[in-house]
Amino acid sequence: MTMFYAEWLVWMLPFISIPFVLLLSHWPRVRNWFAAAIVGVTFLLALSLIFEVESNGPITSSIPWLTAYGFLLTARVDGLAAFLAAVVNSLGFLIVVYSQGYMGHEKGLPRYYALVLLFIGAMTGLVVAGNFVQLYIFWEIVGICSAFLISFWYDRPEAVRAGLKAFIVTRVGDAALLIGLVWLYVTTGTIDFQKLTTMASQGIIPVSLLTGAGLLVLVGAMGKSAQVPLHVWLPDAMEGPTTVSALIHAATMVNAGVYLVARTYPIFSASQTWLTAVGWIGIISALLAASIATVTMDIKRVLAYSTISQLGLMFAALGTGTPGGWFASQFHLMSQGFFKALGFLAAGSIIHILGTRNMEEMGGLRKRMPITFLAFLFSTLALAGIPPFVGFWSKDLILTELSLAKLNVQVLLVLVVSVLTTFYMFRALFKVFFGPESTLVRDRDVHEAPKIMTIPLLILCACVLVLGFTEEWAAGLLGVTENLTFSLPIIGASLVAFIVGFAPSYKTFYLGKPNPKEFLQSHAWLGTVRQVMLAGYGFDALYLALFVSPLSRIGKGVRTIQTGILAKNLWPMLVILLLLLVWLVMRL
Amino acid sequence: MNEQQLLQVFAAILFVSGFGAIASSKNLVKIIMGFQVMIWGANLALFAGGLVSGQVSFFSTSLVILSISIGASVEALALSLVILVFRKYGTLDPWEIRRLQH
Repeated sequence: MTMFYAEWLVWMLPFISIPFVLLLSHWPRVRNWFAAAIVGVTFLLALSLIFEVESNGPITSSIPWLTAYGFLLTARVDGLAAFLAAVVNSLGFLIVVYSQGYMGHEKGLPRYYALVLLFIGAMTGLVVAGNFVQLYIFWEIVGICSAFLISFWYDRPEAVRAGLKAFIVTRVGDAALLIGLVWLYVTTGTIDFQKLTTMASQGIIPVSLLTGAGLLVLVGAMGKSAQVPLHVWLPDAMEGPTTVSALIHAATMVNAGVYLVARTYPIFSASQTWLTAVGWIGIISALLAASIATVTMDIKRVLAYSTISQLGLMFAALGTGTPGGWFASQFHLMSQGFFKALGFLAAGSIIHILGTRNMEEMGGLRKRMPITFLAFLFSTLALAGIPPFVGFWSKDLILTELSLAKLNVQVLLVLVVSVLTTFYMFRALFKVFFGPESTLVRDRDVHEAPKIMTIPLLILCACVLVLGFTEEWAAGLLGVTENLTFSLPIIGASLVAFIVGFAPSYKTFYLGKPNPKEFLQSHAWLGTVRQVMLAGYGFDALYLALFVSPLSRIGKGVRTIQTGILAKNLWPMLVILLLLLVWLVMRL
Repeated sequence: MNEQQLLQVFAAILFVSGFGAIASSKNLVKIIMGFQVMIWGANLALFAGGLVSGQVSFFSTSLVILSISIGASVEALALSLVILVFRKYGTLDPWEIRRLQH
């Protein structure tokens, strides 16, 4: 039992404060800062949890809940949970502070802040949950919050569609996760992570069950973490406000899947099939998404595909099956969270002022928005893995662990991903901040974002610079005792990958030799490849033809029986109820 | 048929008759009344579930009291909505005020 009951308060506090956010709607400024203050407090609580875990080891506290079924409401904070709670709440806090400026003139702010608090609280609850049922509840809350926040501007049809798409696509994963959980519960009789881990390590659970249930849980994680083939919701999720994108991509939603795999890793890792599946899904997603990011023109979509690709690297690291790889994935999660939040918030400043997401309409913003430029530059350098930025440490750790696990094909593919990452991030950087000023920039008389938005950016810049050096400490916190070495060949290889990615990007998009448009015209096959990538390799078209169109056709058919008159629709139900009643009386 | 089963059958009858009222009524107030009858049925079923050899468990009575209070507040809300509907449309017939139908 800790002082202040931090392991409970850290996720309950946002929930408790939601009614106050709604009640304070007559004092908008008070309400907005109240929401920020709450997340600030939960961040401090999460920090206190880290210190507590460091000095006294994992905290477990339970209260009885559904005792008839033997369930306990358990808050279990070990190194992993405390680490992630701190990441979620620190990023959440900065994003909520940034929202004060970014969302300042929007309507519907009570809804926005209530949902954001619910989102952050649910994500924290998810990481401190001690059993599968609790985790599943928070998992669903996170899903519904993201759908609502993506369609925050509900008067835009595309935003509503994107929210619905996010909800339905992740639902496929959620259903698989639920089936997996029920299967595990029915066969093992427990839902507690620790008990399951002990049972798995003693070899009581057969490997076939671990593989089956593990793969179902993995499908759930793929839905939330947007891995191929369930990644289609994430690029569309860019229709929401940029702060929400940052929240989904850096702090909360997408990390849930990686966290779930990391949390269940001790249970399922006995199954080699499961590990291989985790690794390859990650690699395939990383490659596909990184290649699409090189062609898209929407600045937020570049970052979105980059998120899928970085999450893929985390899955690849988890697939190594070593404690080092496990740690590398979580460290990369933290690192990705920070540099992606930085990238999104910097993009948000630009969108806030320019009102467009199309990179063709930007250009030459470097002098007009110096702080935003610095932020985007730092984010780019971190993503490209330049020392001493945090991305260098985490990406090289993943590469090292993959090579230690003798997965040479994967190492090579991750290097290809690095090349693509460097290419598309510098492409975005050059297009937005260098070159001649576009007419839009000149017409709008663009200037730097207000202080309330630039200060969180600067804090994140500092974090991205410094956090890489916390690697050893984080490994100790997460209980990984393995020696984390850096091999020179790996560093050399990633530097070569950087140069291979940077050089063409610099030549085409900074120097303009060859001019990208002329180059495309002279190489017809490149244009075809570009079209295929822009269509997202046809996943959307495939799903439309396979699921959406047949379903809407069936719906149109059923429409004739569904009159829309409640009383008429109720009659069949009444008949069934009467039959049930007769059956009940007959049975007595 | 013992006491408990008798109560359960009555609960089911209440539920179905409430449902029938909703399905056949053309007046929003009557629909809410039907809804109320359904809630009574559910409450009675809850109460009957707690009967063990003539004794009522505290658990089921407390659940019934909770359910009654929730039902009352839901009905109050529904009635207030009915008042708003009446002010806006001047009718209580749900068939006339439906707007979702094409």
